[in-house]
Amino acid sequence: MSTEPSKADVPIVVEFTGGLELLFSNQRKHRLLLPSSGEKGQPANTAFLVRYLCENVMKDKRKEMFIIDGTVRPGILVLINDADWELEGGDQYELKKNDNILFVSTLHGG
Amino acid sequence: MEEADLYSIEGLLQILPDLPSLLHHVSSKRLKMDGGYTELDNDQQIEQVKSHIQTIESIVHKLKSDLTEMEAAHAKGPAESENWRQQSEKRSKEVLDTWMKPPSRGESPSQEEPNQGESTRRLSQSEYQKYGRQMIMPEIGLEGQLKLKKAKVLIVGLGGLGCPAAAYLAGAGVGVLGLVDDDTVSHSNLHRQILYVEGGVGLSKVGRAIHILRHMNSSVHYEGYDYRLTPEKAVDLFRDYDLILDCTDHPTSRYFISDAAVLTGKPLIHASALRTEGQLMVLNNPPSREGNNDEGYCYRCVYPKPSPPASVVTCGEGGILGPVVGVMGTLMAMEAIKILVPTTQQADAQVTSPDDHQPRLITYSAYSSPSFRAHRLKGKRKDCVACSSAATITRESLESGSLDYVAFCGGRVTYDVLKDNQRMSARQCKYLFDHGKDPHALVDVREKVQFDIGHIDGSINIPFSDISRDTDASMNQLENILSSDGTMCSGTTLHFICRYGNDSQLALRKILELPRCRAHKDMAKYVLCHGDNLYIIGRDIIGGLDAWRREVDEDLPDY
Repeated sequence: MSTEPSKADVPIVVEFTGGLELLFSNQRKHRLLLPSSGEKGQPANTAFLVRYLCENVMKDKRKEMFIIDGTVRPGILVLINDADWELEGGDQYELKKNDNILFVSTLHGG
Repeated sequence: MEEADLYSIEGLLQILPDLPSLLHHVSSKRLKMDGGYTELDNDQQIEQVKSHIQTIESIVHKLKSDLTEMEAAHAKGPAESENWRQQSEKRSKEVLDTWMKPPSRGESPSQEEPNQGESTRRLSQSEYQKYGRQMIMPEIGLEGQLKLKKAKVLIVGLGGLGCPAAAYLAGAGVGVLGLVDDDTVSHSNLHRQILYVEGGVGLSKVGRAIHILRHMNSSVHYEGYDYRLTPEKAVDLFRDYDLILDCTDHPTSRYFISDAAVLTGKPLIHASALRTEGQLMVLNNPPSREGNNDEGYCYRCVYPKPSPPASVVTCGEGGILGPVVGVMGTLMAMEAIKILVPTTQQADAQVTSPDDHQPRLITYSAYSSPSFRAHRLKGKRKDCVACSSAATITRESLESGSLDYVAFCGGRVTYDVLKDNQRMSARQCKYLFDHGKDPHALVDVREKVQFDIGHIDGSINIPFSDISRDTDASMNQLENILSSDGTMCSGTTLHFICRYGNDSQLALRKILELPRCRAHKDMAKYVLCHGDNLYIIGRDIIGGLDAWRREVDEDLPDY
């Protein structure tokens, strides 16, 4: 896959489960065109994606249910193509075309 | 039959209508045990049928004599009747035990299998019969069954996860099954907690679970712990077991069960479920030991920090579908069997690969496609406070109770958010509606699906989730409803109700925080302004609809 920055938007799939979908219009799967670079020209990485989701996709005003201290709140796992984002470089991972990003809120019920 | 209580006359009476098919079943079962007619010569076949007829006649004879005794005992009054019942139960058991047993072909049991002495047989005949279907699987085999028989498994929490997990592990024939729960059975449990029946409501879950599990498999030794597990008790209890299943429902127990499993070196199967989804992880497998810290990861490796309390939803609040949590409990039992009988130790096991030890989170989402997914996890954290070489959590800190798990998880959420003069009882509210001069409106803040199950006549539904998402917009929505109703004009006082009186307080507080909500000097009250219209902020109903049902209208659905 090319490492050159692309001018085009990056098509990705973002999914929410474990109750997070309730914060995103009760919709589990979102197909997004992520701008290929951030506000200050920085790469479109997962840190940027989290901010982008919070500002552009999340209609719910309870932002603290998704973001605390600038990153996803404790109790949410971020999975990039079904792997823990910490295996992929965490919030510095640069999103590629057709990536699947899944946000899972931990459940406690039993 | 609810209690499967074949040993009492009541039980026998209940199965009377099914007796012909039951007798046929038993007769053919006995035939199977004996190897079928084909292996027998003519004389033996005749003997067989005679013996079956004899058995059936003895049962009919017993029922007849029981009936006579029963009539006589009942005629003498309740004391004698009870005495007879107890005696009869004992005798029935003896008869039925003989009835269900295959007839011995020789004179003594040792001649049953002449080529195999008692000492070489590693399971009892009834165990071979019970576990045959799983023992013929190469994954289990005789050695695997013996491992299961030696295994001690502890299930913490006997809810929607614990019930199916316990049923399958009892069925699989583990040696000891420990069961911990301090709760009693309630009607709201029955759609998913499959070990309980309506007659058990109000009784101890541990007691009822062991009762039914014994009927399922009496070969297992059951240990009940009818108390709430605490960090102080966990370490001591876990020591006695080989494997722990976390079937609890709260973050605090999730953390201390993981810590205690790490400290005692026991693998931990962790699962949870809510609404339409479930999650499962196999933790501390293989267990972390000193100098061996590259092994299994723990709950804290995955979730170093707990979720904020506001994001923790229980099954009581969020709801749960029975089969969803049932699937997760069943998966736990399967993972338990895999740990107790490792396939790598089987001669023909070529199926495992190094990738099988990759840390994984299994998720099940009933309404998604695909429903099952496995996600690769990072696994062990080098700086984990529980299971790494840098661990700071010790056995002493758990046993002394110095670790405050409740505080760690953000403390208990308290709902006393309003002052007393901002609240009123259901009865007061009803009085106000019936006799008040000014117009009043009741805003029900439960979710629509709950509102649709049942609500107070005339109440208006503005869901708490809408109020939380956007308080201002939700109040516009309310105003639209009020202004379209001629009787609820400007000046209407708004009161708030929810299921138990928690969300309604939070809703009222959020509304008070709106910029357009302000203190009105003349009325000495808070008012919500909407253009030219004013709405007076009234009170929250203490105890919610639950209290309304107790104090005002008992016909309101108790869901």
